[in-house]
Amino acid sequence: MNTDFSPIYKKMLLTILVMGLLLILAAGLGLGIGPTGSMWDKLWDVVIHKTAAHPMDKAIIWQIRLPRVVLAAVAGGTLALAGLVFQALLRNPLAEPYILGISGGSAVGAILGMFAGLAVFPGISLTAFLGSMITLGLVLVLARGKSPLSKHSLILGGVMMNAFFGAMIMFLISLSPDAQLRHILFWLMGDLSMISTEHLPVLLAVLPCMTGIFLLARPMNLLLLGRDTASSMGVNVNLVILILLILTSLMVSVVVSQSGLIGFVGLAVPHIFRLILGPDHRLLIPSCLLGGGAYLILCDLAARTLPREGEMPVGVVTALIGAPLFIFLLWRSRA
Amino acid sequence: MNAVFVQNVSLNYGDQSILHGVSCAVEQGEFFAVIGPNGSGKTTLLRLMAGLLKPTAGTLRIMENPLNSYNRKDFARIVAVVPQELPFDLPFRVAETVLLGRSPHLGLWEMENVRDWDLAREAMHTMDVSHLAARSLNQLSGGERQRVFIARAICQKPDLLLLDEPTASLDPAHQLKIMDLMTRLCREQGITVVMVSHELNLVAMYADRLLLLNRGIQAGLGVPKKVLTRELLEKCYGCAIIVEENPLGQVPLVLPVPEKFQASQ
Amino acid sequence: MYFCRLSLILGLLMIMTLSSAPAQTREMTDLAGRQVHLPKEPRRVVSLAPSITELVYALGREEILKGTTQFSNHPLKARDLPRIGSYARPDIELILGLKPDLVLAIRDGNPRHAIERLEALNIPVFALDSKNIEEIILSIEALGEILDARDQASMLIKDMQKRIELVQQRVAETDFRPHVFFQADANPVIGVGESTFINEIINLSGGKNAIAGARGYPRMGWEDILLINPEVVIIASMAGGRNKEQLLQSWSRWPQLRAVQNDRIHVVDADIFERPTHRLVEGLEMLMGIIHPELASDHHEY
Repeated sequence: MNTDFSPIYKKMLLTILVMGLLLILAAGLGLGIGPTGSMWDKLWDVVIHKTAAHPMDKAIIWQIRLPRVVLAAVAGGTLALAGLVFQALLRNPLAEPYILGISGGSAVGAILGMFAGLAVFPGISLTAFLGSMITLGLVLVLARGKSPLSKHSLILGGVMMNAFFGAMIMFLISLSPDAQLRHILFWLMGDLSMISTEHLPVLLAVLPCMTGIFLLARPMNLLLLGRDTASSMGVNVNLVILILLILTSLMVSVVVSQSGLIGFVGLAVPHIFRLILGPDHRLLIPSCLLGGGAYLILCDLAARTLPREGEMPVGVVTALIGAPLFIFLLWRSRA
Repeated sequence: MNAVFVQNVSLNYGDQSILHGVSCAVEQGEFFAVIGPNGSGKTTLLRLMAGLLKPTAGTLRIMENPLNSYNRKDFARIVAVVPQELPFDLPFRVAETVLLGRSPHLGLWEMENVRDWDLAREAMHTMDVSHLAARSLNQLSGGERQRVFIARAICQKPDLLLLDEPTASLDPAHQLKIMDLMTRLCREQGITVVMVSHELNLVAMYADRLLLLNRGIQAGLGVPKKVLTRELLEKCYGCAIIVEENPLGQVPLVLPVPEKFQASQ
Repeated sequence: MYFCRLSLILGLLMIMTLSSAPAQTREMTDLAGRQVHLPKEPRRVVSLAPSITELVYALGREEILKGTTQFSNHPLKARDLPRIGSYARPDIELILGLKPDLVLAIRDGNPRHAIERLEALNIPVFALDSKNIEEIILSIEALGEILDARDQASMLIKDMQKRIELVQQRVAETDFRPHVFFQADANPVIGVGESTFINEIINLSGGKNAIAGARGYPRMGWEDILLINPEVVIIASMAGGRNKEQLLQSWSRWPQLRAVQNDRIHVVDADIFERPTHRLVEGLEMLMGIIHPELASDHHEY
């Protein structure tokens, strides 16, 4: 790494460009390939010429694949960004989006919604969202006290929440009739198939959160130096932590309410980009956003097309791909 | 002008009194050291000066303005802090860390420019870590890391530099280097340095004035010769101490006496 | 004059042929009470349950069946049909890829969400219900109507009704109603309660459901089973993924049970009992043979 002057904005622009291209490429693949086979010629017709040989092909691309690709992009970007933020806030490389208990809370909310026979949208999405918001509130209340919002009290609160909700989930599963079990299981493993085009606008709610987080990139850099140092360098530590917590939890809750609990994206992707690009959050935030989206689109593509019958849970693919990739990068960086 | 003005400051933690009725004034450009046994409140006083804590009673003024009249950012442009405990698992490289010191001078989305990079390079050179610029922080020794963080603080170009035991993990050569550097900052650039330290002989040789704290109360304030007396030190530290004249100059030399030598005393 | 009339008739003929253009639909009420617009002559049908696939084959209309769910293994030919996911999780994209003009679903069986999405894509979905034999018969009737197989449907139904009547007649000869426990799954043991068609069959075949008070498919502990002490035990094969020996073994551990003592534990082909199709009648006859061996003149050993 040279220590000569290299304008950070040039690096940012380059990162955004490259990652953006990657995302578009992945989206194209996601739209063009699926369990019914690849439809490159039809994709061209449908998207560019707005005609299609058969209305079913149009429906497949617009009504089935498009919402799924959009959800994968938004979910992947959100989860990767959330993992990045929590790793900075908690100064812990093992932090991931669900560490503060959001996963447990939203799962309980979703399962209760399923028990009540609610429709997927808005019913179960709403109960899942409420579940995670309540959990966030509880964690914040628990983190008050002598050293407010210290990483210890946050992590402790989160671990407690996850343990408690984990027990509740097991209890609810034991009560549930067999017919519900499948639905619960798929939700817990992450399911990108539930989204339809009309419900996509809900995902817009993550945009202000992402923007807010982007604006706080430099304070995030400083937070890594420790609370005292960051504070002495002009960062309102408690306020920044609170805002980051709320924004991140909000966007993760929105995504989880639509897609269930997809794991491993929030843990592996930030590390991968940190190994490639370094620790400056002004570079990491856009790359996690765009790169995380591309990553999940591709994982979902594999989950949909690889098995001969049916589909794999996308969480399986994210783990199977993410773990070896991460280990490889780590090994190369040490050498 | 007083860089730091502390008047009758007390801090209670619950019903525990950490500091009580401490008063001192540090002049601009002075090399000031705060000493005292463990738990005497030295770090707390430093943190009060850094605006990281609020006193329960008393007044604190920095550069003649009440501490609480500053907004955070403006304060960061004047005061730089090097805490005692430094994070060791940072993903940053040395150059990036030092460059972070420019943050208080940059707007939220203002990018570092050539001048900022030059200042960072200068600071690294001053602290003798230029050769480590591309290394990751977690690959450095404790002493090297210490120097990097001081470099970061210097890069911030403060008027007041607050350091908590900056020589703790340094070898004698680098200890002297730091102290020389602090002296130069004071004399040449008019920066005020307030340092908490356990190294009594080091501060005796370098500091202009000392503040001796004992259990949160002020036990001594003045030039080293006046504060580093046997009676005062034995009372505060609670162990046998010899104070001689340092052969290198007209400053005291403090020798804590181990038990095995006490018979011959 | 003549010319006018001729052209009028020709005009009318033209209008009639033009109006009998493709995509003629009709409206029918499905077994979930919904109004469905389906094509009068469906040409590409997708089935969302193995039982529906069986019925379509039984009605002889398998050439319009283009896809089905996993585990559609009866009749054997059905194994060659393209799969569109599972009963619990049909893959919408695969269904669309088959370009269906009609989808057949099971009410409260397939996920409501999937059905709604198909309908949002303008694919008609006709739901069949199958909670008891009467509803199965209604479903077969409806299928016959939809798939233009009315004759086959009524033949199938008549056959079913005749055989059911035969069993009922035989069973009426005795008042004895042994307590029967039907094990639907193993690990944990799942029994069969009221409001299931298996319960109905047990009653029709001259037995009494040992856990008549329960609803749906309750989990049973061995304590409960010991207390209930059924006279006859019927186990669905491959329950919990175990083979016949393993299933029988888990019962023979309890010599206190009279069913064990009297050697009245039987394993039967699960598909016949657990699918709401015409083959349930076979199951009915089988059960009668097991429960009242004294009545059936030519019962088989199962």
